[in-house]
Amino acid sequence: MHEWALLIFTIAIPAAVGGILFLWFMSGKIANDDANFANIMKLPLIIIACLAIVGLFGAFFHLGKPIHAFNAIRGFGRSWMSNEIVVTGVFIALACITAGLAVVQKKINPVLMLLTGLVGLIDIYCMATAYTVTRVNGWHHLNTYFVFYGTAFSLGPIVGASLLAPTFKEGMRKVIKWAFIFSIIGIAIQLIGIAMFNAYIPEIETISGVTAATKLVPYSGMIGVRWVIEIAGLVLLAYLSLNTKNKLNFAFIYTALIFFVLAEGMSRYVFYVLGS
Amino acid sequence: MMDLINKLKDFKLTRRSFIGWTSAAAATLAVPTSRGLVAKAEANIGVKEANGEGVWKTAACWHNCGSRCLNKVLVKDGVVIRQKTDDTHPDSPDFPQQRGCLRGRSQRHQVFNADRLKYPMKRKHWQPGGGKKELRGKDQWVRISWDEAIEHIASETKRIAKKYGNEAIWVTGGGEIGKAMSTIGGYTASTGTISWGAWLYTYEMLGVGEGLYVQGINDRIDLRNSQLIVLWGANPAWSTMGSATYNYLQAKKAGARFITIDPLYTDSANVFGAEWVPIRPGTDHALALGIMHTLLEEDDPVTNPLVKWDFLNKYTIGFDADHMPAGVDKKENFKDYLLGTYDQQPKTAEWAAEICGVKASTIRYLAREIGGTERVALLTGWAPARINNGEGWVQAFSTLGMMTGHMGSSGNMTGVSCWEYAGNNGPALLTPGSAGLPDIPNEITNVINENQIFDAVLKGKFLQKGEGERKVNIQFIYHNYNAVLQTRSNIMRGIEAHRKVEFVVTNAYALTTTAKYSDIVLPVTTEWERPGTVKAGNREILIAWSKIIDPLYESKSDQQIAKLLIKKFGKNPDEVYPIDEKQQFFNQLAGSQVVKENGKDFEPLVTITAKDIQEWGVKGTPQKGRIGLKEFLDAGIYQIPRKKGDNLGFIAYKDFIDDPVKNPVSSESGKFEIYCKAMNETSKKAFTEIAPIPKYEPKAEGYESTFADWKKKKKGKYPFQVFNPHYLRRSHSTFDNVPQLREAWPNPVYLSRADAKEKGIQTGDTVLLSNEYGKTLRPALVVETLMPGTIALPHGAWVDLDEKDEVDRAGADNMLVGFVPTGLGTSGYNTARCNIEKWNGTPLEEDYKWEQRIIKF
Amino acid sequence: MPQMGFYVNVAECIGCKTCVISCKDKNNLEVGRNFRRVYDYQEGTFPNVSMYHLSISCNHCDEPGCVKGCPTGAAYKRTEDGVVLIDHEKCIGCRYCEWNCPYGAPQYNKEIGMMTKCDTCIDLRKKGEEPVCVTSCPMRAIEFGEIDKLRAKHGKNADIKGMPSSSITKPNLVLTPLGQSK
Ligand SMILES: Nc1nc2c(c(=O)[nH]1)N[C@H]1C(S)=C(S)[C@@H](COP(=O)(O)OP(=O)(O)OC[C@H]3O[C@@H](n4cnc5c(=O)[nH]c(N)nc54)[C@H](O)[C@@H]3O)O[C@H]1N2
Ligand SMILES: Nc1nc2c(c(=O)[nH]1)N[C@H]1C(S)=C(S)[C@@H](COP(=O)(O)OP(=O)(O)OC[C@H]3O[C@@H](n4cnc5c(=O)[nH]c(N)nc54)[C@H](O)[C@@H]3O)O[C@H]1N2
Ligand code: SF4
Ligand code: SF4
Ligand code: SF4
Ligand code: SF4
Ligand code: SF4
Ligand SMILES: [Mo]
Repeated sequence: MHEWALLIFTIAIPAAVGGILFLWFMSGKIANDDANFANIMKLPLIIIACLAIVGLFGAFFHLGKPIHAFNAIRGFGRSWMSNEIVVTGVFIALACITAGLAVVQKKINPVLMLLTGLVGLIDIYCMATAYTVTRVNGWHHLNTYFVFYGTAFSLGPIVGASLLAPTFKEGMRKVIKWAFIFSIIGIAIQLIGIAMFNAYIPEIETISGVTAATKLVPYSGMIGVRWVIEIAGLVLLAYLSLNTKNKLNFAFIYTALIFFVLAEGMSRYVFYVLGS
Repeated sequence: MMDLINKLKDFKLTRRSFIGWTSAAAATLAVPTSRGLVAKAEANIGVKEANGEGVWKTAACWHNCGSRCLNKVLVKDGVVIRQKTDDTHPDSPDFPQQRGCLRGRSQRHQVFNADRLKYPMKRKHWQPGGGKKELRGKDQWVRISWDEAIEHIASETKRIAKKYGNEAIWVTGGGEIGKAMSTIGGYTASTGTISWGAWLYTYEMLGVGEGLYVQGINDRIDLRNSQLIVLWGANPAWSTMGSATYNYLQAKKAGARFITIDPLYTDSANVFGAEWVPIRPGTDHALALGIMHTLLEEDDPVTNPLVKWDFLNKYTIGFDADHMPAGVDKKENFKDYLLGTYDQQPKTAEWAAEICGVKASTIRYLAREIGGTERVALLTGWAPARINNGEGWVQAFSTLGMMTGHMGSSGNMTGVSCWEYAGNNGPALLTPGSAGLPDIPNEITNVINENQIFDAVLKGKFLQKGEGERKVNIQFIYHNYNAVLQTRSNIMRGIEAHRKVEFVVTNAYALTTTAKYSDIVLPVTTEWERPGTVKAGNREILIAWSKIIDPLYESKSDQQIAKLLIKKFGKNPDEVYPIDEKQQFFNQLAGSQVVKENGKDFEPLVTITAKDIQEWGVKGTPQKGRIGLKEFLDAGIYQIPRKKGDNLGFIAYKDFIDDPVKNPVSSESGKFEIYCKAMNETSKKAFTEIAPIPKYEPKAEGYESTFADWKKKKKGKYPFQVFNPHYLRRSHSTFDNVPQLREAWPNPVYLSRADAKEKGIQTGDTVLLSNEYGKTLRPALVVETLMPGTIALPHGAWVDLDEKDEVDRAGADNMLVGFVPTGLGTSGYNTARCNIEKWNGTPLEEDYKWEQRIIKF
Repeated sequence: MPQMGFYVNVAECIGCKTCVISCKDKNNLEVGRNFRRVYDYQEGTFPNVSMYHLSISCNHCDEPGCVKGCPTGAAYKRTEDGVVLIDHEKCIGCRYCEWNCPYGAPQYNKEIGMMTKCDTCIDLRKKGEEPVCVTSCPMRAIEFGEIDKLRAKHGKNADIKGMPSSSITKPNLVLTPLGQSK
């Protein structure tokens, strides 16, 4: 596996997309004291924009010839890879504008947030399609969409929640509860994908002739561990949102974040094993 | 994340390895602009670069690979930038280009490999007399000057010769160092049947051809007249790369059917569409007997004439009681042996089946096919004879050809098809001239059989063939131009022997195994760095290669080294080398001969003018030949076109068949000897006695020995037979250090699916092969194409022992081949046995990733 | 010039890999980068077995996945003879073409950070020579030429067991499987 750059890219972007959507969702739930609201949202939005930029920047490491990178838009409309890059660009631009407005105008624009999130969803679609149209066994499958959207919905909410935590102390219990619910959805999405994936009889379209299943044999341990960690993250979230007696321990939130990051990272690692 | 950082570093890394790779050449050269391997090159004398695109020069491919092909290199701005092969004439099956193989085309990677030895060096703890001898193979290397090196070698030579006598000096492979030693009293020599196996010491006595000195099969154009071609342990696709397989293919296209008798289903068999008869190594003798018994059993001169009685009666002795030589027991005839008249054991198909693993019904089928087909080519490689107790096989195989009369006529042949003459026997149509160096006689008469050589070093005695036991006290081993510690049996014993003696020296261009276990290593030039040579290959070609580059680093040729030594010995090098290497090359060119139109007589090949001689600065006389000197050197090859019906064809033994009295064969009786008294007599003064007729005997370390109890069929400690196909990634051990060849042809051991399954081994698993001689590792390749119970361990990997001197991780074949001198002293590489198990230690990585043996000072 | 392509006589290939190595030599390819590759296959069970080796480079396909997927347009199909090339003015070294080619043809060059692949020995062809892999094969098992002519001579088959279906990218390749040589 040598696709570390892509791993970072394809986790950071969906996480940012999921994060911003989560923020948008929460913005509807959070009380509307304007100034305070902008204050709460400012930092999370900036960080998410940064996360997206880091993701894109990470992708540059994948390129052998980054100086030619600008050429990557030439294929827009023909190559899903180009589409992905262009739409990522748009997403980042919108994320930056949203964050910028929050800083400069001290105002949060939920419509812009939603728009950014929706563009992000399209971006994830492009991202996933870029893989599904390849000849790589295991990518060339609907599951790829579930993997990428799964990341957005499982990792995004906890990213959003963790970012809200420092600035939005009071309503955190609610935030955590929603993050928990969304994570369940995110994980459910991934499980559906896996169920479909396991049922499919692959047609080998590359001359190396290796099926995804064979490639993954040495990684079965890793896949197991990944699920343990992911479920542990989920359990932690459940605990945080259901245990109303004790004071919320923020360390737990960040621990859950780390768990999800690790789990999704491992999931993506295994994903890229298929292409190596 | 660390990979991200690595990625940043990566660019630099690749740069560095790139520089490392080419730096071999850096000493002499202009800076490379591309990744091309580069070195300062010379143009042929008289050759000029025409249009700035570089000059193509014929470059040596000098290895003992069983072929000879045309290899050219593109030299531009003094740099070797590309290679190519024969394009000197349009290609056709009758007149094929002499296309090289993947090794030849990796030649520049060998010459410029990062592991080229640069300077003379000595072992750090070496002292005159030895100095921590146990560190041989492990010690560090210290760079020394040529003066120092020659001084050490000369003084140690003198000291050892004085103290123990010249017998104490063992020079492997003779060569130039042999000559040098001969100037001061000689050296102990070693010899073996190496390639030929049991053919080498028997063929003359039997009256047959061994496939190189005496040609035993027809030429390639006549091969197309065969209806059935039996490849009995021969795989030209691997072991005669170049044109042989393509030539064979023409016979297939002309309608021949193929049968292959081999433990391995080979690529030759595959493209020829051969029926595969899997057989256990070293048991072909039994199969041949089973076939011959069936022939006798089913033969009916009228209704089913399988045996050619006329042939037997007229051309052979010993087949039956009526055709025995005078003065021997008539009961000892071959027919009665086959029928079991006196030993009560008929050598039936069933009897043979138990030994060789070929079903009795198949044996009968083979008999009917071979006996019942009009024109048959029975072709064997040397491999089935590279076995212990192999002499009887040679005789049995030949007898089968005689019995079925497949000898001496068009489309009919029985004999060896191997090495450079595979599938194409006949007298050479071109011959190189002699270099013109005097013979330097060796006063010491010791010739140690290679099956005994390391034992002789360790135990101080050996069997001098034809004479009896002799004592010897070897204290100095000098290796030049061979890889004895790799290619002779029992590497572990060899290492022990190397660590016992007082002094070991090797001339080498890479840190080969022999070099690794030496005290002093002298860097030699490759053929690319020498004036040139004329080389024969198959009978239709002569190749002339010339110097490509100046010697790399401080390397010197073997001759230069010999001269320095002779001088240091206080002798006159000019007596051994009265002419220089360039003059030697010129002499070879001038003396090269080519067959005349009439197909019989010869004339000079090369036209040489007074101007040529002057330009070359050599001595010589102008002569008229077929082709101008420059023309020949530019082409690098002269090839005789062939076509069906030309007068250059060859039918082996035809003279003898036409007139056996006037043209007797080489045996004592002048006939083919199925009863061979001479062989029996000679064997009495060799290692083990051989019957005068091809009586089956279990081969030492053969199939039977894999059983603890043969009768009850209880397997023993070493239940698998292991044999060594010659492998396409290397020529013996040569080329094994070239990473791109390692990549193209990995280094597995072939296991049959059945055995692998039983042992729970899968392709890619590292497995340990072991027996009483050694332990060695290789990744497994599980195949359907191998006879169960046998293991194919491709020949020639560079032994690489662990720190404890126990396990070799390269899978060197001779870790498992023991010392069992049998018969006349045959090298029995293909009779070995071992156990195999999954390796629990660190698994092996693909060896193209291994570190090269690069010595940094 | 019409579309060019390769013919490989699998039935007469001995799997020696001389084509691989001669191509490496011509293109100065380091270990790991192979414009031509040979894949080894075995069929059947002991003792009824057969083998085949598939020597393959780039098939300069009619519907090249590499071109379609390339984000930069660096991978392109030349109009004059249908040869698929990579423009190093444009290539970003994203390696996406590797994943889009069924045949493993694109070979990434770490040193320059861009993709490389078989160019049909374009420079030699300009001089009227044949590609190196063709002239190196000891079995004369590879031919290069106008694909229509190759198809007329050797048939249209471009499929063999173990290889991805030719329907994916429509390779300009003709193969004679084992057992079908003349
Ligand atoms: N187990 C087993 N052993 C075998 C065989 C087998 O089938 N199984 N096969 C046997 C056969 S058939 C043979 S012919 C032998 C071959 O045995 P060797 O002749 O020992 O084998 P090579 O590897 O060809 O060794 C040639 C060596 O000479 C070096 N060399 C090349 N050119 C020069 C030069 O100009 N000067 C000097 N000084 N050195 C040079 C090369 O680097 C190489 O180390 O092996 C035999 N050994
Ligand atoms: N690639 C490559 N080619 C070489 C060489 C090399 O090192 N590498 N070395 C060259 C030299 S010096 C020589 S002498 C020749 C040797 O050439 P050969 O004597 O022909 O040797 P091999 O290639 O070992 O074996 C040929 C076939 O015999 C089979 N065989 C082995 N043992 C037995 C047996 O007991 N019975 C039967 N029936 N078959 C058996 C093997 O499976 C193999 O398919 O090769 C030459 N060609
Ligand atoms: S077959 Fe031998 S001579 Fe011919 S190219 Fe290969 S290594 Fe060289
Ligand atoms: S060079 Fe020819 S015979 Fe050898 S692998 Fe390539 S195509 Fe096959
Ligand atoms: S073989 Fe692969 S690289 Fe070549 S044109 Fe077809 S898809 Fe593109
Ligand atoms: S590596 Fe180059 S040629 Fe391949 S898809 Fe990327 S930009 Fe195109
Ligand atoms: S045409 Fe040239 S570049 Fe392409 S595979 Fe053949 S040798 Fe290599
Ligand atoms: Mo040999």
